[in-house]
Amino acid sequence: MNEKAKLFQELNEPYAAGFFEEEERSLFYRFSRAQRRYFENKPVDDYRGGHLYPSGLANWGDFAVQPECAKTFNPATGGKGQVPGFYEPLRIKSQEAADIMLAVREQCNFTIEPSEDYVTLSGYTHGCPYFERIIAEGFDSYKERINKIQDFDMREGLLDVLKGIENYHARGLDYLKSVNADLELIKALEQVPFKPARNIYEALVAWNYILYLDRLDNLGMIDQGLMPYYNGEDISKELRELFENINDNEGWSCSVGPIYTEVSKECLKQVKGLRRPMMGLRVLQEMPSDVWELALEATYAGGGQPAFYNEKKVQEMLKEMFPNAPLEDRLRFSEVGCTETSLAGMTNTGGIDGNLNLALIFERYMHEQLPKAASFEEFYEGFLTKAKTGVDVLVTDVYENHRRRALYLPNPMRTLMIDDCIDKGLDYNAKGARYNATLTSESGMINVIDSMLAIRELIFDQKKFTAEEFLKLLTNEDEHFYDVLKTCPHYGVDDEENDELATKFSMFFYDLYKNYECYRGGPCIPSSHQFNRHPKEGAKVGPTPDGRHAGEALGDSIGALSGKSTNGPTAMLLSATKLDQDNIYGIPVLNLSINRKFAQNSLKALLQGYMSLGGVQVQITLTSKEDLLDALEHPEKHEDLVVRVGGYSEYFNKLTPDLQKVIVERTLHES
Amino acid sequence: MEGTVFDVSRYCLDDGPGIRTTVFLKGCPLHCTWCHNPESLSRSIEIGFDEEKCVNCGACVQACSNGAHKMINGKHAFDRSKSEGCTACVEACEYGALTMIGKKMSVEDVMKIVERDRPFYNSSGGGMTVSGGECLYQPVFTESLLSEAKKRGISTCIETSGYASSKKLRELAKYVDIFLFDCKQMNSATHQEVTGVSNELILNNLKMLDCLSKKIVLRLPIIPGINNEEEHFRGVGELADSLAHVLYLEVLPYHPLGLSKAALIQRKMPYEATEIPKSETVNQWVTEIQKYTKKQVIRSKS
Repeated sequence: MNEKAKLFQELNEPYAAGFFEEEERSLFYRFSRAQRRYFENKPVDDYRGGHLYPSGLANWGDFAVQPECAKTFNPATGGKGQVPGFYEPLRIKSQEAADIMLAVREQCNFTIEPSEDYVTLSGYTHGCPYFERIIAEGFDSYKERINKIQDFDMREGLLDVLKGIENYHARGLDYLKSVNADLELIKALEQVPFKPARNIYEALVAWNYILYLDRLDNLGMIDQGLMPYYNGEDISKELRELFENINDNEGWSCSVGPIYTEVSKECLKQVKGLRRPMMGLRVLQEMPSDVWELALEATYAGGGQPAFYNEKKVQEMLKEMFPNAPLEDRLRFSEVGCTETSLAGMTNTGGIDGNLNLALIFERYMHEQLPKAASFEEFYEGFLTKAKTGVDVLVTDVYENHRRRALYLPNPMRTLMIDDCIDKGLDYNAKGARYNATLTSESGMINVIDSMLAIRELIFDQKKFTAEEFLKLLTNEDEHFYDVLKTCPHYGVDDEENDELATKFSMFFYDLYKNYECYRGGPCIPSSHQFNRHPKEGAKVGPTPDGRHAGEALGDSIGALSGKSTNGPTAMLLSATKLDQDNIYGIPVLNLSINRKFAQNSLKALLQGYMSLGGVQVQITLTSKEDLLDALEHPEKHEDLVVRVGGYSEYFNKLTPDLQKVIVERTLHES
Repeated sequence: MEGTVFDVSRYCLDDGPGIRTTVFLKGCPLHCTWCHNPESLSRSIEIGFDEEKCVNCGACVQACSNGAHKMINGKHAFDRSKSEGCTACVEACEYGALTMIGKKMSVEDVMKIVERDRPFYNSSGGGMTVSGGECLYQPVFTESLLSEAKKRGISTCIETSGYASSKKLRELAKYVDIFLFDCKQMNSATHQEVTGVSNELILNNLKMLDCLSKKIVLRLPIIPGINNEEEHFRGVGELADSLAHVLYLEVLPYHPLGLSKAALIQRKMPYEATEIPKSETVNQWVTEIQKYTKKQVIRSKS
């Protein structure tokens, strides 16, 4: 045996050992062999008495080098220039082994440094196995298709992966029998996922098993996929357990609808109170009222479940993104990760591949060009050129990353489980998926819009400051100047003049992405969703004229900036429809914060009204006693918090301290 | 056609069904001692002064040609008797300490705002509510607003004390889908004492609307020490049952919001509650009133 493989084997690092077993073979084969050895050595998960297996926190094994499905910088977890996650645990076992793995990472050169500091390159490509197909056909039948693959290494590699899964599966079954696990569960696992599921229980067991094989990334179209097996059985416990599994393991999303069935309703019931999976409810205008009621009940339980997606708009976007996709494929929309667009089981969306810090570009441009600009129009037009360059840099960098990923980073698990990799005979990262895209986000769109509005107002319209004065006061974060900035026009209050600029700029910006195609073939799609980037990106940006202090977080969605939805939620939603949502294929996320009491009387109408105007997605945060308490301490952060007293509504900050206290106490009392 | 408006408030959930835009008109013939909107009492446009927001920058002193604003020992002093309808100080104030309470608006101006939320009226069964002050204190403007809204297919409510010319009320009733009709005190003498007017005209108007088959919500402001008593509860219950078109009764518990708003115009409110009604007290009121009527009694949604 190869010396390196031997070394890693002795260190109990089966994944790394597998990778070195046959160094002369293709990377696809080597990663596949690694995957097989991993499954052969991975400890079986504990049986906890549930209806599904595995269940609860997964036991990935005490290995420093781990396979990953979504994090494609694997096995070098972490970006270029960062110490990868495996390094320290491996170094403790053996310096030599750690150095070998580090060298692998360097040689493979999985990722590049961003060309500019306003670009961040990211490593996730959330996805979703084709659960339905694996469940309906079984992995055994996959072997027949794999055997048709021309490429020897790929064929052998995928068969290797299946051997690994078979080994892990057989050991799991032996274990379950040894601990006298539930007989129904054992019986189901004797059938799935290698043979077709014959009933709803087997389908659920298989769905869960495949989810664990894919390291609990996304659940896909859970209700639509289970429906063919459903005959009125009580599946509440299994569904809850499945959701809890993804919740406990920090998994991501699933979708429900747009055919609303008893299974859909059960999903809405069982997700209540769970942070994950983030459920996306695909809303059609004719969605039945009982489905609405269950969705709203889940919302009122807190935790932001579910998010609401406008199915009609999503379908329009998908048609633009994948013009050749037949309807049956487009109907497989299911968001992955946070809100990344995918067609379940057949897409490599590449999300999030990178991020563009638009606010940073703007800040630099403003300091350089504002004193030279003769008019607002001149200033604005100049920024368009900068934004265009920014998108160009981002997309070009991501393209190179994709190219390298295709060369150096095969993903055998996703190749096995996502269509049409097997039938095309291509790796998932090398154009194997039926649909490909690159999905990136931007940070600071709304900050830039509000900054431009403030500049237009104070420097060019009212001429209250010269550009030099303005920039000096801004740089010094002058307290009174910030008070003046607060009075400037801003986005999010349904003001036609302000929103016009938002429309104009967003149309220009999001349209830029249409000039590009991603490496794997398919669209480059922008998104407005921030995941957790907005504080990190904000930390890079100095004070901006939207009233943001240096280092503060950037906006977190296409909604008004924090504290600036000062005209109520209807106005905020109307403003949001003025952004160029139609071109934000990666989903224009809208975070709607709403007082719990108002929500119960108006949420459905707000959502329906928003969607009737073309709003694509809304996720809800209910304000709470915590918000009110924080509003007492930091009123500046809560300028849009409306409270009701009797029949009258008022901004919390406008109330006298005594009255604020009364309301806080009442809220505490009632909640 | 212009009216004096002190607020057009969107996303109102308590002023009739669904999501509504409420138009608050300035001026009220009643002077309820607990008034929740004291800035609406006067028909004139006033200047509001929020001392807490004032940074004593002196910009208003320079802008004012009437001597209404002065700096005394570095502190801003405002003599509203000298402001004489001039608004230069409000424009000069960059800190929001000086604000206009009320402005002249045309029907078109108001409708332009009301129209904004039409998609949400459609999705919620909401519309426009005209309130005050007392909206019937500007009857022609109110009628114009209501008829314009109806013309545009927007549902309408008015919120009223009912103290208005019966003739005018009958004329504009055809443009109103639901009347949110206040019932402050059943005892006429007490009514006179705490609101400044007797309740005879009000009750006659209410009965007339019922005769006209207009939908009515009886709104019951319950003010501790003034009308949280059995006689009043029984009175409103019996009244509701005597009217065919009362949909339900809605309890509006006293809140002290008016006090902070009164401070803006340096007005002293005659009524100060010793304590704010607790949630369970309000529920108790609802239960007690319910004893006297077959109609449903609810508490205001918030």
